[in-house]
Amino acid sequence: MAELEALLRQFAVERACVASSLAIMGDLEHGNRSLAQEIESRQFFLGYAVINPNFTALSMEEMRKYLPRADFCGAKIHSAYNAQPLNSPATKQLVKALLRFDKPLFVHARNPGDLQHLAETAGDYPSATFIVAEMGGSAWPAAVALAERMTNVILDCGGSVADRDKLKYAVDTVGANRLIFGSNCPLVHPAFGMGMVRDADLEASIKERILNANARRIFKL
Amino acid sequence: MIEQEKGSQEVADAFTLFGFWTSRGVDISLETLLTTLRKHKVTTAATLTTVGIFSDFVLGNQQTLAACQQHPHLIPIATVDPRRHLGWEQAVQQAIEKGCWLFALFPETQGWWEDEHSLCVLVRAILGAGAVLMLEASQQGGPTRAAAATGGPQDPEKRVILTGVNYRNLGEALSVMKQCPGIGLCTSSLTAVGAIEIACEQAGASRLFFGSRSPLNYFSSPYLRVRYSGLSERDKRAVLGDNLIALSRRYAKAPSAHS
Repeated sequence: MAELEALLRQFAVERACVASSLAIMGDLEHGNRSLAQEIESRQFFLGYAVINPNFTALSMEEMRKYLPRADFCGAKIHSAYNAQPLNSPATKQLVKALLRFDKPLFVHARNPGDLQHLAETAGDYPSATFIVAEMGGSAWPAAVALAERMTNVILDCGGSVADRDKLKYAVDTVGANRLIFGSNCPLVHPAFGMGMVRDADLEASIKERILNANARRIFKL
Repeated sequence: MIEQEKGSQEVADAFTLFGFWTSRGVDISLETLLTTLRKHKVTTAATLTTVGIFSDFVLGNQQTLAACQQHPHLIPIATVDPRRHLGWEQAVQQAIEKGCWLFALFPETQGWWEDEHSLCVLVRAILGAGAVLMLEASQQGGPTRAAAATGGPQDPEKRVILTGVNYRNLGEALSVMKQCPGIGLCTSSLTAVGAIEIACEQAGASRLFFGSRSPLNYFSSPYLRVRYSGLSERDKRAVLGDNLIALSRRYAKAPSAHS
């Protein structure tokens, strides 16, 4: 965590939202707990409580444990690992339970099918906020189209897909207030995502919103 | 926000494109490419038109050569597509006669990875003509197929640069590179923390080539990835330009008198 913080600080990152890879891979309890312990003494980080619709009771318990804490910024579902569509009854049950914590759900949806499933759930729960990781990867046009239809969908514009038109297209389509910067570090070096923002054909004030103000608003920082 | 990166040097970009990109309404015209290169102080760039990838490699190679004759800081990348079957051997020969020393094949983009026979025939023809080959290998198995297609793992004179290698298949690529000293890597998709550093440590900086895929992609993403890597300044200079220039000096030949 110290190395991660040092690397991100090189790029003027002031706060970073982070999830446990152990929890994403399956061990929710240990992963979330060790993350909670790690971030307790590091104000730089905010945690995502990883939840998994294959383990709804445990996921509810994890949300109850961590989401009331100020150093947890939301929940995270990685559907590629848990193999449940984002519109499954169990996923919707977790989204419904998340509502009372008033914190966003960070989701991985990297193809048009996943995004379609997300559209259904986002439509069913309009007061929940969904953050689409890496703007859907190479399916970013579909992710932008989803965010255009659903005002409760936020786009994380980082990741490893550096298509030169994606940020401007996203801003032109959904406006500048629903994009946030996510480095996806350490899977992606922060220089890569910062390079996208630097090169994007956008005004400096819009870049500032993407890199800072929007996240502060969405995570209530 | 990064406005000025640490240090600065002249950059040679091993992989750029111009033309059109059917599935996205993005401007990747030659003018946009040239503007991007100027903006980022790229003094040398290898390039090809997407006409050769998506439509007609004969016409594409002509357009690539014409653009590079007009703009001498551009190095032409020739290409062929085995799906057309007819005419690729002549196209390789013509490109060589016109001074092309760098070729690229796009088996993933064009969807013919499973045609391993054609891959072997093309790779051997291009390498046999004394050219350097850039070969798409972003999928699992890609580096292995590339190595098999070169036919002789120990021949360092057979130069192949794998493009698109990423965190999913970097381990495979490095394993292949250990056996095949002639195989190098384009850094465009080595996005993960530690990826470039490990590749450099295991294969050596001389086998890494900075390529941006610009203007299809943001230039600064892969560029800053190298600039902010843990490589020594010397190795960064090698990756960001010296290696491509050295290849150019070694492999470039004057066009044949009759071409």
